[in-house]
Amino acid sequence: MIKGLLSLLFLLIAYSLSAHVFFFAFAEMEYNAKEQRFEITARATGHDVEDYMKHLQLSIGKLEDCVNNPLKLKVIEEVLLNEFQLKTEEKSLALELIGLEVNLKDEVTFYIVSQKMELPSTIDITFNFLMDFFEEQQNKITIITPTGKEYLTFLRHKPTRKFEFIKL
Amino acid sequence: MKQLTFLALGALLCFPAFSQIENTNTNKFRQLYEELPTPNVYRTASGAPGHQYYQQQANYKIDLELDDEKQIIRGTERITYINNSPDQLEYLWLQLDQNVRADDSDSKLITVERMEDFRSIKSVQRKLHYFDGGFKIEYVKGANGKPLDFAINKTMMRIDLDQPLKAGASISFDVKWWYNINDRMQIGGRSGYEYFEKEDNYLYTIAQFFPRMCVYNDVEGWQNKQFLGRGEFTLPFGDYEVTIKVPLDHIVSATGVLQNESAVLTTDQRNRMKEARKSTDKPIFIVNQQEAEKAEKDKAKGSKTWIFKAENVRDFAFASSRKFIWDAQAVEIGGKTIMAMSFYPKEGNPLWERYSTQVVAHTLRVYSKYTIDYPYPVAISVHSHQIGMEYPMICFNGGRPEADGTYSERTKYGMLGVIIHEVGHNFFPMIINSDERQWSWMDEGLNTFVQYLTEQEWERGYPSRRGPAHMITDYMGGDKKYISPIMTNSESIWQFGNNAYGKPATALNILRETIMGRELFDHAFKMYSERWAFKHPTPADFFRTMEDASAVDLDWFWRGWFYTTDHVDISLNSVKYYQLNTGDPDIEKAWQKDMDNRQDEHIGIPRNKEQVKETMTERYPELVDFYNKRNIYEVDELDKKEYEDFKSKLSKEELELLNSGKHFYQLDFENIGGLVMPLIIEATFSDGTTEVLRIPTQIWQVNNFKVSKVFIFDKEISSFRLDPFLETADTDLSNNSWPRELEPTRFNLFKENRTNENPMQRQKRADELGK
Repeated sequence: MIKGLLSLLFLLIAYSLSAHVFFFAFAEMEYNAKEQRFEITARATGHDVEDYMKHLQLSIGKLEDCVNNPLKLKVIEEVLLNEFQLKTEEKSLALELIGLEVNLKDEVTFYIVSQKMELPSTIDITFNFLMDFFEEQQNKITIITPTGKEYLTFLRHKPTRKFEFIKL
Repeated sequence: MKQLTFLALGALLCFPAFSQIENTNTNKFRQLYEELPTPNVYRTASGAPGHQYYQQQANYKIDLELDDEKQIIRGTERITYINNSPDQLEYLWLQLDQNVRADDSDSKLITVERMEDFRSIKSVQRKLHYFDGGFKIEYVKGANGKPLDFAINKTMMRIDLDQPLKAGASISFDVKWWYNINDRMQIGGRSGYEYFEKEDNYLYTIAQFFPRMCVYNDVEGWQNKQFLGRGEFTLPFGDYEVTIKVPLDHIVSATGVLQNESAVLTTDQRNRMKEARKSTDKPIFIVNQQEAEKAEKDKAKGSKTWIFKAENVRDFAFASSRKFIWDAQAVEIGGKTIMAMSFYPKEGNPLWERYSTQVVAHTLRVYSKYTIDYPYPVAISVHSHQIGMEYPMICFNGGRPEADGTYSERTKYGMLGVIIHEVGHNFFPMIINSDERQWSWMDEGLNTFVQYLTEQEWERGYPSRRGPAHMITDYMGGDKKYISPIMTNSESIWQFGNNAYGKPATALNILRETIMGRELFDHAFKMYSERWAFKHPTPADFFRTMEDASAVDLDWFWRGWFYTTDHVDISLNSVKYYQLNTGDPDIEKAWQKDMDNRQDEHIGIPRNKEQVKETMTERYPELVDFYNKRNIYEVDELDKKEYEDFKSKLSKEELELLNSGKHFYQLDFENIGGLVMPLIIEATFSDGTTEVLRIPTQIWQVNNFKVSKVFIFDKEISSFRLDPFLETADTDLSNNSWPRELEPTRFNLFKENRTNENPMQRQKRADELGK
């Protein structure tokens, strides 16, 4: 009974923001052979991210204020890289948030790079950014390879997907 | 043996099924007959209301009391329901939307949940908070005072009539109810209150607050699909007379026109309102910030009753607070004066006093141009933190500056966008009254489309986030497992925002800019709006009207964009270059020589020149014959004579064509994404000039997946590019060019634009500057 009640309230919180819902994050990932690292951009809705940080009781304020603020970027990085992860052979890759941009369309774009590494044959991608907060959050990644683009979708019940690279 | 027989039988059974699928017409241009309902006397094949179209009417007389001490709203209402249908009704259905917050609501049962939802203490506390929501119905009585039987099924209430309501007859009955108003900032909701703790004041935005008649029509019968929270609502039109008793110092805004100005406004306020009725260029304060702040502090005792009347509306909503600043201005549309007004607390300033009412006025003007003249006497924007929600003549909008009065540019555009959107909902679905419980896109999608047009008329380069084709490509491309066709019921949609708002708005924008052209589209869209204003349209009525009023067969477009999750990815696979053979040996042999000289030389040839000192034919000249000596590039007399004979058989025009020097290019296209779209090709010539070629979508009508087209130019081409103006929502631009161009990733663009300085280095510089 309690569980039911709690979920009702959670649903209502979600609906309070649902007059104009977005709840979608897009990432693009490419292996840069010259730099020997993965380069990733992840884009989400600005106010979704701000609401989420507030929900986590992390005071970053407006995203515009974070762009050149190393301390706030660090806070965002910790959250973001907890919800965007890459693994090869069961080992997590070190990722770094190297920048953030926010535009007037309320889109925030995060720029992430991985540690230096050889192109692996497979990679496990976890992309559950914002999913704990927004029940309907759905994330998507476009993986750019020399042979074209591949797409993966991530859901609450499916936050991790495996991708196989074809080595040419 | 037994097993083998079984398998063989299975194969025989399966075969007809497969062969049936293979032999079914799956052409993307097949007509939509199988998807659309059969036209009838209520709705025609042209998409207009039929000659026997009908709709019900529900008139309301409501007395309300807002309890500011306990945050309760109490009401009694008399509903007069007029049965214009040809059917006899044994019972009536009413909507009880507040029951979505009741303890037994289905919404909680269908919520998918995980333990991760309980991650922070605050979220657990919030979830453990108990709220006694939902309607408390005290009675339902006939006009004669006799109780009527009723049954409540979650968010729906059925009233059982003693006698069936005959076609053309009407019935009046009374309902008394109350409910606890929800704290919108704690547990959410489209309506509720916001509490300002510091000063102990409330701001109420009240909607979906009284038992409301369901729609009964030729499409659904009773539209009594349960309210689960997402699929909004549909309601019959009617006239409203509403009295609202509130604290003495509250300012009330509501659907309709205030009937007792002299009783509730001061002389000063009435005089300011007179001035506002003449002010068409800027808003006039009816209550200014200083007065609102005084009311906040004084908290006057007593109460006051505001009376509003609204005609031919499908709902009623209101807002009430002593915190309200109120400004208003006149807008002239179609020879009528409409009052655009805003109500907001000081927390909304300075954004709200500068923009809100001006945006309301602008929205009314632009929407009226593309749809119908705004028919109501007022349009109101009420400040309501964090949400956007629409009701007839009144809407609740977010957009709050920081506590210090500053605001980001993003907050400003977010606020302008939400006001345009919510005021725009007056047209879709408040006037063009589609069924939101069934089809969210019919109001959200159409409204988002006109919102985009309105934003672009507010400011050049306005940062609209929905509308242009290229903005929907991330959503539409790739993995289709977790996206839905637009034609999906509101409750079952994956990715509601992109599906119901973004994709249909984009589709209409593409129709307007690329498929139909602005003139044909605007006429057809306006026709749909005029035909269905103050009526209940369905998707088929929209699809049919757009075709009927434009003579553009759009079945392929509706099918692809609205009934499937296909996306646009058209690839320019190859380009083949040809020139006409003039037959003139002087030209052709020289051309052949040039071509041969351009050919790459195999690595062995230069090496052999060096290493093979002497070949056999060089050592023994007697081995050299006619073929060794022949110069294939030399023009002889016979060549010339043959050319003269050939020319003598040609007409002057044929000869001119032959010598025109035209360049022929065969372009091969592949439809990878599934959606058929026009081919828009930019040809760049070797002299740097360009030409844009537009091939209608029908090029795909026989072969939906591979087509070729030959283009003839006077000049040589250096490159081709598909969809150069980003107007088709092509999801993969990397296969759009010849020769192939690398599409920069977002990351590469970021790297190009980025300075070498990292945020820490910048901070260091800033710190040093400050020393």
